[in-house]
Amino acid sequence: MAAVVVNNLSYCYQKGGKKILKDLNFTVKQGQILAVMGLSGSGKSTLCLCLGGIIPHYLGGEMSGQVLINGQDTAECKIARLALEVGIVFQDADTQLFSPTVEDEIAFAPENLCLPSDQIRQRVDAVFDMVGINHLRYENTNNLSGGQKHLVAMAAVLAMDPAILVLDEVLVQLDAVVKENVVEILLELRRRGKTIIIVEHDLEAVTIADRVLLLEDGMLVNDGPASILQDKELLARYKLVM
Amino acid sequence: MINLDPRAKIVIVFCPATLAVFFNTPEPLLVVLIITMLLLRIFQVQYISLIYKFRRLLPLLLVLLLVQSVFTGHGQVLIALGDVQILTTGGVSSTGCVLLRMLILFGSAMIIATNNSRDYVLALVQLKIPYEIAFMVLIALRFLPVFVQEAKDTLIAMQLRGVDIQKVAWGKKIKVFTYIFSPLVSNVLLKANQLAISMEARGFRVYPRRTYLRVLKYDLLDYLIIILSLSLTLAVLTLSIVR
Repeated sequence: MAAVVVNNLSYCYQKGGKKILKDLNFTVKQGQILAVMGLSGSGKSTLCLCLGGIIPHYLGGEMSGQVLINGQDTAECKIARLALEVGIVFQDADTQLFSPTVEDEIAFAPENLCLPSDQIRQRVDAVFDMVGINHLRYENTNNLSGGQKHLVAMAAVLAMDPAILVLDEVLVQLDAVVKENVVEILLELRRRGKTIIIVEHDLEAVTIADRVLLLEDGMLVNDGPASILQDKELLARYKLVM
Repeated sequence: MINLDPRAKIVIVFCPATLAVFFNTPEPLLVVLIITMLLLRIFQVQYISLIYKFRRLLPLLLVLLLVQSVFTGHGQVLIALGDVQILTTGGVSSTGCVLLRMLILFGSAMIIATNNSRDYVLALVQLKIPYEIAFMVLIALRFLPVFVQEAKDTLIAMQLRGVDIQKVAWGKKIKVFTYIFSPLVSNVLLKANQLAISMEARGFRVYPRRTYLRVLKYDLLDYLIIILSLSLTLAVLTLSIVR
């Protein structure tokens, strides 16, 4: 079964306004890493919001078409319910972290799932080990560097153990060493059968993708294997390389 | 440092705060302040900085002193300008009470800061407060310094564009502050919205209840301190009312 199905998805933030997404159609198989690329303003982040159900539930606007997450229509399912299936790491780490310590931040999601405290502890420890941030466990989230904040935000989402992980321009904000570490984590998650959607405009960050979607002005202009990243002529046409 | 349950600390803070509101003469308020200072010392809180910060309130207290002396007019006249009382013992006493009350309230609140704010979420939840409200308190505490920083950043951004706030006339200062507060309010709303999305996207309120990584448990010392604090406060209140 496809993990994500997007059917004729169109969206504009204000009724009758400019369409940010225009008639998108694609599916993502379980265990696949999909990269969504495009210039700023091409609708990448809006697509992430649609995948997490934030559109149409939280933000207004006009959405048409359908997004199915493991068979559930996002328009008919609450965001918090969808969170059990899709984990989204947003661009701005500052607004995702609110707990006094990193451990509390990572425990927040499993606590919401009503797990017993020993299972919460197990999940938290497993995520700390996986992301390699054990040394930050008792740090105040306010005092972390930008890269560390992104790692913690990602760890906090991984603690939900979602079947689908969406990263909205996270990799591009990490330094080379941390990025390599995150790429390893993503590959491990793929081995475990997780579906990963990486939204980026940095070519280097998406070399691990199985498939690449190119968005331009809200339209899907290319859907192909990762090898299209080698096609300089194609990338230049969409201004992804100079 | 004594490691107390946050609920016990809430009770400790509640006691001097109640007495501070109850008394309206300087003498008992001074005693409550001394007790608060002792508590701060026991919890190893640096309270000298608190007293130092209160120097900024001096102009306000001076205005209060004049207003109390001129308009309430109780007590012995110390300074008068013709028929107008400028300074009275009543004014001095009232202003002293305000200062003492503020010191007690801020000082006792500093005891709260000796615990992780997430512990207070737990404390409130275990005191049967709905977890949504407990998290509202946590987030308000967490984002307060962020908003202060944001206001400072906006001010610096304006100064970098050539606006020297010190040299701006008082009439125009209000206009400058509207330029600071408009982006601040808009940023606050934006951040609140993003935070709400991020919390829901991590399953907040997916179930009517939630569990916690840690669970608070009272020790014997917590019980003793709660009983002692409440008994002493009740005794002092009762004695004051009876007398």
